[in-house]
Amino acid sequence: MSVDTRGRRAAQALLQAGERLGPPPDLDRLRRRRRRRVAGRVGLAVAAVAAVAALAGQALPRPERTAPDPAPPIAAPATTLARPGGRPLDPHIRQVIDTGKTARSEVAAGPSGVWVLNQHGDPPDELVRVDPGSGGVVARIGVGHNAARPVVGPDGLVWLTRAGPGSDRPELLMVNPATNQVGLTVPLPGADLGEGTRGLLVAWDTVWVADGRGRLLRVALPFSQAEPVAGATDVGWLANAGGWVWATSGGSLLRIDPVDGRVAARIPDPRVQIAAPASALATGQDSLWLAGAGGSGARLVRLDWGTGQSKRFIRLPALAEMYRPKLAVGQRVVAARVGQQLRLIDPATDKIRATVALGNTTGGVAADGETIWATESPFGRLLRIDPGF
Amino acid sequence: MTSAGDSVVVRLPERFEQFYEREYHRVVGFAYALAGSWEAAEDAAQEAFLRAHREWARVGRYDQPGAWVRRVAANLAVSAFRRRLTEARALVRLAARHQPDPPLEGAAVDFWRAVRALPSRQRQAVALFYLEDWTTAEIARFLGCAEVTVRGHLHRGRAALARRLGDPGLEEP
Repeated sequence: MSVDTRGRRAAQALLQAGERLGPPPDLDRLRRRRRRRVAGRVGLAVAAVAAVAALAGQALPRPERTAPDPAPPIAAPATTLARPGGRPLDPHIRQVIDTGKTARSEVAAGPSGVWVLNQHGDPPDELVRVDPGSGGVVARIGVGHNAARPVVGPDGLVWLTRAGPGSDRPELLMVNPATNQVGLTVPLPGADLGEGTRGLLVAWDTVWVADGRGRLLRVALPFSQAEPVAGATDVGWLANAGGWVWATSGGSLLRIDPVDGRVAARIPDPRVQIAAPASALATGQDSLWLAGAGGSGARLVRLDWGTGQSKRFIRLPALAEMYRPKLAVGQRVVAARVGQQLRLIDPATDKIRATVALGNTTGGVAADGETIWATESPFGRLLRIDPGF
Repeated sequence: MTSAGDSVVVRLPERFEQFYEREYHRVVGFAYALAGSWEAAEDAAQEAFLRAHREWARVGRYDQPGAWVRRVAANLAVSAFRRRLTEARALVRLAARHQPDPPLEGAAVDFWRAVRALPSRQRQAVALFYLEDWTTAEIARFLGCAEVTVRGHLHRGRAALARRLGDPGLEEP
């Protein structure tokens, strides 16, 4: 029998078997199941991993908690906290959490909580896990020298890079939230992390790393080795949207097939070129968001995540033109950190709705649901910010 | 120029519910062809349809919303890690499931197992070719590549299947 005949018969048999699964499930039931799944994502993922591991005879330690506690309601009264010297805090800042003094810091948030990377240089860097419910520091994890770009994956695993003491041992690290320990180390041979990692993304069960020279590496399951993505040059920031991996590349966007890592398209856009060099790329609100400080100041470009074409162009007023904006996209807000100010943009109108005064110019910004998190590096503070709209 | 008598055709999006009813089983079948597990296939298809539903105002206006759903389902289904998680999830909620997997005859099981052993893009091209009866142009649009590339994927994929399943007529020299 020819392959074609077998193929047609196998297709027919498969479709008939599929029909026997019964009618399509009710949409409302699917939505409810999805909501439950998202709400208990950490617990489910850990339980699932534990089940797999148990099947393989290598049980994992029990998780210390199943799901983040809910954030305080938006209507909660503002704190009356003040900065040293008595200057009152911006009313959008609902909580100030001490995470330890540090030269520089970055922050990431996701299903396993909020993670602050304190970059000391020497001594080694430290990843601080914060419970988003209580604001308490849950764990401090040593991650070696010159660590950068923490990212929380959809399963709660935390990924970051480190260059090593002499910036000569580039590696990708995974921190397991079930154990609060480094669970995996993957060498990134040839990657130049000496000037820092440009972008890191966890998408489609692959980790994507843009090194300091703009080379893109993908580390796919079983996470044993990194392979370069051909044709991806001058890569900066990475995001995952619409079934594609997106990367900034000079004044263009690259659309990359997540399955095989092939560059499917290079999309030039005048608005992206004006914002170049990009300093952030993020996904949310059915859009891609690109920030940059090209030309005469900081800008934010909203792009269609299906085509990569720009839809809106938003100026980000800043006290100085040199600041390169950082981005975080939450459930109802886009937060752009420009110098000492955090601009909160309403994605429904693409207008700046509020400006939060931060204590200094350095630090990171992250979003989780309706909450924005920002760090103030030298002071070692993590700020919980409520957009209030 | 349009005169008063001319008609202008405006493409309105189909109702999502209609689209869902019509396409659901085919997308589950496509996801099964790639994942090899009914649990994983249903999970991937349902997630893909939920995403389509959320973005139906946009996706519904595409020329081929079905291709969009299949792409999302494919991306979800082909991931080995997600597949493992899905299987584990299935174990977790095993008690809630009473319906056994639908039987699939041995020859079909062997065929789709051989398809899953193909490289990723060949696998997708072959699945769409047999299961959906799509043309090479439609598959090329789905994969985001040239038609000639699809023909290459199909040729190599079918040759590999012939080797595995024993059809010397299609084997490469």
